[in-house]
Amino acid sequence: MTPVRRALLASVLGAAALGAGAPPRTAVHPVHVRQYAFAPDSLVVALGDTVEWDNGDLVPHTVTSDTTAWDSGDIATAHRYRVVATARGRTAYHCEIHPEMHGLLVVR
Amino acid sequence: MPALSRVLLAALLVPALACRSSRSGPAAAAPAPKAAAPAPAASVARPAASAITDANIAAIVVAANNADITFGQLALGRSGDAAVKQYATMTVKDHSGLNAAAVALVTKLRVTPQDNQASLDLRDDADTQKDRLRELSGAAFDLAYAQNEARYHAMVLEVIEGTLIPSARNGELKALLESAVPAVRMHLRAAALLEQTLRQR
Repeated sequence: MTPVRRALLASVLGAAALGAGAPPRTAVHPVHVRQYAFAPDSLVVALGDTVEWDNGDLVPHTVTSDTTAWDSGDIATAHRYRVVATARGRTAYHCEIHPEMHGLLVVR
Repeated sequence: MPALSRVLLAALLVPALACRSSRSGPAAAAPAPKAAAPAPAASVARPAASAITDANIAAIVVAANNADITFGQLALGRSGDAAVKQYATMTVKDHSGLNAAAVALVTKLRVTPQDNQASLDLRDDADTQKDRLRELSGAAFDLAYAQNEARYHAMVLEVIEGTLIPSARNGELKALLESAVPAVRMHLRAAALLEQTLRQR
């Protein structure tokens, strides 16, 4: 085996070993709060993923689960709120200030 | 058209008179508007685009937001109804946010809000309505508050869409006004729903 081939093989094996031992990758899913609506208003994520709401309106909003398991409090203009999906299931949520705003988060 | 809306539009049609008013604020840092071209007879119902300055618009926006914040704070102090308090909380928070955005923008643009007859009329109307509401309590207050909110937001929406947006010269100010429209529309819908709910009790 040439030195170059040995180096390549070692590189591939190292990558495989790293992949086996590393924690599963998680994603960050953006939800835009615009014009008094959540976009998307329904989102499916994997366990461990993060959902991030950003407020693009000129008024404050909240992101509050209907079960009140989590509640952002007032999110000011241009601010964000994050929730990590730690349990599987469906969670409906709303804005406490604007009751007509609703969303759904599904964790698989 | 509500009475106040007529008054506001009439006030906006006579900016020269407003500028001479002893109640006028400091001169705006914004460029002076170009002289208005003679308006055709058919456009009497709407002020010419150059009739009001961005500084006037800023003053109207701040006065309109402050008026509804005042109504909301009054309702939070006087009403015991959960639906009324929910609505009032929403309007206070939203109009505070809109005001903060407006103040931040005019500060950035170095525009000093300049009172004109329209912003002064808004303040006078707010004082009149506040005094009227203070005379009421209980269900009578709740219904009068909801009715006033519907009236007020219908009037403000008409002024924003019909006069302020077409008149705004600065693009960012125009965008801010356009961004405020969904809030005002939503408040108007919610006020009408609140009034309907209160009447059915």
